Amino acid sequence: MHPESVPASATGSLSAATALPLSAGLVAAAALMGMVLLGPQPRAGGARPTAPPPAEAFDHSAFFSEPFQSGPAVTRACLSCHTDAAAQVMRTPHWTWGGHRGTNGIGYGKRNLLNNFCIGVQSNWARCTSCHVGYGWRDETFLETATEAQVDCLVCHAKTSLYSKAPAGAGDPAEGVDLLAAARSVGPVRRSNCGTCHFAGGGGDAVKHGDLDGTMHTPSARIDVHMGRQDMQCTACHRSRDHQLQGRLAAQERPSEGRIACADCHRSPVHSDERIARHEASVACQACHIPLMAIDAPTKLSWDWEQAGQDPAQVAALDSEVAADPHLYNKLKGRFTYGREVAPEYRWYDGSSRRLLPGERIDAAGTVAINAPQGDISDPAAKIHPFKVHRGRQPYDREHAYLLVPKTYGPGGYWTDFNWDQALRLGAEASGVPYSGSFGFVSTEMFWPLHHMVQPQERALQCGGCHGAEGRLDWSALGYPGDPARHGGRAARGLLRPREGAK
Amino acid sequence: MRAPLALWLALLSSSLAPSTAWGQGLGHPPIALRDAEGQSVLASQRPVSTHQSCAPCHEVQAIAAGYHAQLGLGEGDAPRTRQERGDAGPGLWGRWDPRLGAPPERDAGDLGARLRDLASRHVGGGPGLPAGLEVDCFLCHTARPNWGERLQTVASGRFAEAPSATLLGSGLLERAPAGLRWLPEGFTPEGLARPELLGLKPPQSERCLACHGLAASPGEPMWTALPAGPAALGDEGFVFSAQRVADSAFNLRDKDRQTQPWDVHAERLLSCSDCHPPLNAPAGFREGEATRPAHLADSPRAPSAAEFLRSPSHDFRKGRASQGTAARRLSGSMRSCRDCHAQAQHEAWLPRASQHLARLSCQACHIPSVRLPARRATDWSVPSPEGAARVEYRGARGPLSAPETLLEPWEPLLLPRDEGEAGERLQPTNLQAAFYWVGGQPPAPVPLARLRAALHQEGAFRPEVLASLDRDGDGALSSAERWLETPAQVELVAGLLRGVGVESPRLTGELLAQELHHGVVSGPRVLRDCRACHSPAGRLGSEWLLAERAPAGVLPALVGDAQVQLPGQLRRVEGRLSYRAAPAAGAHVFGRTRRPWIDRLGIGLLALALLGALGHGGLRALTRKSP
Repeated sequence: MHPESVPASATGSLSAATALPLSAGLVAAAALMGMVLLGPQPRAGGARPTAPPPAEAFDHSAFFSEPFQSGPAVTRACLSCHTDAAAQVMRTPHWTWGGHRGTNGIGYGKRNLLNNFCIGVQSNWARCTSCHVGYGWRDETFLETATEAQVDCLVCHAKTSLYSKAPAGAGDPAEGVDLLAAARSVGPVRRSNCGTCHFAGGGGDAVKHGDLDGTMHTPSARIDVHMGRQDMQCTACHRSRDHQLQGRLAAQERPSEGRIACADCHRSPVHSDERIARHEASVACQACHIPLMAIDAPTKLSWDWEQAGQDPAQVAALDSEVAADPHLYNKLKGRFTYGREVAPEYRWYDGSSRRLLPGERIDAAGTVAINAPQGDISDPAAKIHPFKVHRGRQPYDREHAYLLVPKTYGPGGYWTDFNWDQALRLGAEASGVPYSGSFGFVSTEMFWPLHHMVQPQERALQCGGCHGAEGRLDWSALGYPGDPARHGGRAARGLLRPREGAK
Repeated sequence: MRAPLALWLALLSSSLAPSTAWGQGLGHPPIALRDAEGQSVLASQRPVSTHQSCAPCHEVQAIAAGYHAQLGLGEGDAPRTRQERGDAGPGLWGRWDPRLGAPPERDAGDLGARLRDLASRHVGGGPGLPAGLEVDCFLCHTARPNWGERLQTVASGRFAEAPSATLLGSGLLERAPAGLRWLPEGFTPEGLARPELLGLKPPQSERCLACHGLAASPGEPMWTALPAGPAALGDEGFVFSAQRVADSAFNLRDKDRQTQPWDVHAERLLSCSDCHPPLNAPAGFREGEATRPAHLADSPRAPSAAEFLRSPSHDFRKGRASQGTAARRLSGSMRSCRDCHAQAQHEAWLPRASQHLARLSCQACHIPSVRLPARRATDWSVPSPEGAARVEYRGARGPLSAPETLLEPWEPLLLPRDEGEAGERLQPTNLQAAFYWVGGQPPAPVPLARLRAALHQEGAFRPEVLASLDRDGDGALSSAERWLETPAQVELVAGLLRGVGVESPRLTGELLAQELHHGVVSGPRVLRDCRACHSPAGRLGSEWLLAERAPAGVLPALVGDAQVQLPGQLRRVEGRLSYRAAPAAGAHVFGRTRRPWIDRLGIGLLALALLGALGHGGLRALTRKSP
C-alpha cells in the first residue's frame, strides 16, 4: 500500500513551512556558541550533604589471648591502653543517669525522674540497670562506690552478636557470654551497640520511642534515609569527644550546647522552593520529614497500670481487643495500646521540656504532663515539632498529690505479690518521698520528640498533610486563628513576640 | 417563603467568613427538605425538590440556568461547529461528541429520551426543567453523592426522583418497595435534615472531577477501581490531585521514580474554584465586558458576600480551550498562569526567555508528559452488538480494565493555539481521531439504531460482516477486528446501510483537540531539555499516532471550532494514521526549521571570505618582489 500523505492544512489550517536542506554554517556556529554561553545554569542551593564517613575499625583481636573471668577484668585490660576512657565515661549521662543540671544544681535524669512506662528506677535497680554502661548497679549507693573497672566497655564496643547483658543482672554480662571473644571483637560503636538499649527502651522493642526500634539494625531507606540510604551510624550525628555524646533528651532546661541540628549537615538554603523555605522559621525539619513513626514495628502508645493484676482470661472475656491480641494485656503491667505507621502529634517546642520533678504536686483531676514541651506560638525560638505522645495511667499519692514509684521487681514488688499498697510503700521508701497510704491512678502524658525515621523529600509531608480540610494539624490548639495557609503565619498575624535583645 | 431569622443569621455569619466556617467544613445551616409542593419530605414521603428546599435562601432558578445546566442550549446556531454533523448548538445538548456516546437519532424530539441519554453528563435544570428534572444541588454540594443511583434513576425516566436518589446512602432515606422512604432518624425534631448526614458544603475539587477528570482521595491510593462518576480512566488522562504518582496503585512505568504529585497546584492546596470561580464571586471579582462600560478596564463594584450567597452565579470562569465548546462567551475569563506567576525567574536560565514565553504556553514545558492513558481514537464504523465503539488509547499496553496493564507516560502534541490578543502559542494537546458514518440530506451521523439494524442480527454480526472482518476465523469479531481495513469492507457496510434506508452513507472522520491544562509539574520535572523542541526529531517534528487502525479511505479533519491549528501533515501508512508535527507556518525554530535566505547568506559570506582570501593572496603573490 502506498502511503497517503496530505497536508493537515486541508482541514482549513495553515500550511507547513518549507525547508531547504542547506547548511548555514556561520549561523549555526553562532547559534551553537549562544546555546553554550546562554544555556541552562546549575540550580543554586539544595546540594546534598555528604554523609560523615564511619570511624575506621582497628583490629583488637591480637591484644587479648587469655580468658576473662568477669566484665571488670575486660575493662582493666582496656584501661591498660585507654587509660582515661573510664574516667571520661563516668562523667557522662550514660554513666550518671543524671543528665543536665537544672538551676537548682540537681542533675535530673533517668536515675531520679519518673516516666509513664515502668515509672522509675528507684527500688527496681537491678532490672532497670541492665541497660546501664556499668557493672553491678544494684542499689542507690552504686554511683558513690563504683570503680573505673565497673565501666562496661563491651556494651558499646563489642560486636552485639558476641556480647549481651543479663536481663535483670544490674548491668552484669549475661551468663555464658564469651568475654574473650567479645573483647577481641571491639571496634567503633555501631548502630547495633546503641540499639541494644535505645531500640528496646521501656522494656521491649519499640516500646518507648516511636522512632527507634529494631528495624534500624539493618534499615532500608524506607525506614530512615540517613541510616538506610546512607548507612549512617548513630555516631555520625551523635558525635563524641571524650565519650561525651552530642544530643540530649528533653531536659528540664534548654541545653545550649550539645544539641544536634539538621542544619549541622544540611546547609542553607535547604529548600529552593520559596514557599517551603518560609516554613523553616516556624516548622522543625522533623515535622515534614518524619510523617510517620513506628513504620514497621508497632510502638506502645498507652499503658494503663490500673488494669494490672487481673486474670488475663477474664480481661479477654470482657475486652474484645485483648481477646484478639493477648499482647494488649499483661497481668504484671496492665493494658496497652500499640500503633504502627502512626502520625505524630505536634506541639510548639523550643528544645526544652518542663520535667515533672520527684515529689512535685500534680492536679490529679486532669492529665499530668510529665515532660511538657516548652514554647508557644509567640516564642521565636519555638518551632512546631512532631512527638510521640505516650499516654499512661499510673499510681499517685492521693494525700500528697504526687506521682509514686512502685517497687515492681524483686521481693515485695508488685510483680511478685500484686499488692499495690505494699509496692508503693517500698517504692516511696527507696525514692525518699513520704507515702500517705492512700493511692489512686492518674492519667499522664509523656512527649517523645521524634528525630529518626527521617524521610527524603519524595516521602515528606506535602502541603495538604498539614493544611486544608484533611490536614493533620490542630491549628487552633497551636494558637493560630485558623489554617495559616489561609489566615497567614504567626509573624504576619502579629503573634510573634520580639526576640530577646531585639530593639 | 421567608426563611427563619436564625437561618438567615447563620447564613450571613458564614457568608462573612467563608473560609473559617463554610469553607472549613463547619457546615451549612440545617435546612428543611421539601417536596415539589413545599411540604416536608418526611411528612409527605415524596421526592425532594431542590427548587423548594434551596430557594428560601438561594436563587435556584438562576442557578438552574447556568451553563452546566443548559449544556449549550440557547447559545445560538453554533456558527463554528461543523454543520454537516447536524450540530444544533455548541454544547452537549445540541452537539454529539463521538467520545461520549453513540450517534443519536437525528430528531430525537422526545425531551425525555435526550435527558436519559445525557444522564451522566447533566446536573439537571436547564432543558430538564420542563420534564421535571431539577438542578441537582446535592451532586456538587454533598461529600458523597450517590452517582450510581442518580444515573439509574434518570436513565429510567424517573426525573423527579433524581435529587433524592443522589442522597441515597446518606442516612436520610432508603429505597422501599413503594419507592423512596425518608427516615425519621435522619431529621431533627424540628424537621430539619441532620447536617451531619446531608453534609452540605462548598464543592470540593473531587466533585468537579467526577465529570471533568480524575481525583485521588486523601489517604487512599488511586487505582483502576476509581470512584463512581462519569469521568473514567482513559478519558483525558489527567489527574488533579496532590497525591504522589508513586503512591498510586496503577501499574506505571518507572513508578518508583514518579515521586511528584499528580498536579503541583493541587499539592499547593488550590482547588478548581480558585482558578474557575463563579462569575460573581466577591473575591477577585471582574466585571465582564458585557456590562462594563468601554472606558473602564476594570470595575471594583463586587457583590457583597451576602449578595453572592443569595445569588451565586453557577457560570464558572473558564479558559479558551478547544474542548470547552459551550459558553464561549466566557472564554478566557478564568485566572490564567500569568495572572499568578511571575515570569522573572525564567530569565535566570532560559535563553531568550521573553521569546519563549511569547511563543510557548506555560503548559508546553510544565506538562511535559501525561501519566495516565487517554483516548486516541474512537471508531463507530462497526459498533459491537452491544452498541460500543472501537476505542484506542495512548499510554496503555493492554486493556485498561486489567490491573496488570502497563501504563506508560505519553508526550502531548504541541499545536499552535489562538490565544486572542496574546497571539499564538504552542499548546500541549491530545489530538484524538473519531470515525463514524454520515448519511442523509443534510448529512448527519447515522444513529446507532440504524447501524445496528444494518450490521447486526439477533444480537450478533450479520454473516456477511463476519465473513469479511473475521480475520482469525474464530467466528466472532474482536475489538481489533471491527476495523474496515479495505475499500471493499467499507463498501460492504455502506451497502448494508443503504439497505436499511440510509441515504448516501459515507465514512467520515474528525480530529478533536483535547488541550492539556492540568497535571502540571514544577521544579526538576519541567521540560528543560532544549533538544526536546530544537532538533529535527523533537516534539515539533515527531510522528503522532492518531489511529493504529484507521478505516480505509478516511482522512479526518479538525473540527471547525477548535482553537488550535494543524500545520503538519496527516499520513496514512498501512492502516496507521498519523500526524507529522510541524511548527506554525512561517515560524522559525532554531535546530528544527531552516531559513533558506540564512543558508544562502551563510554560503554567500563564506564564498566572499574565500574570494577575499584568494584575492588577497593572489595580489600578494603577484606583487611579490624578488629577493
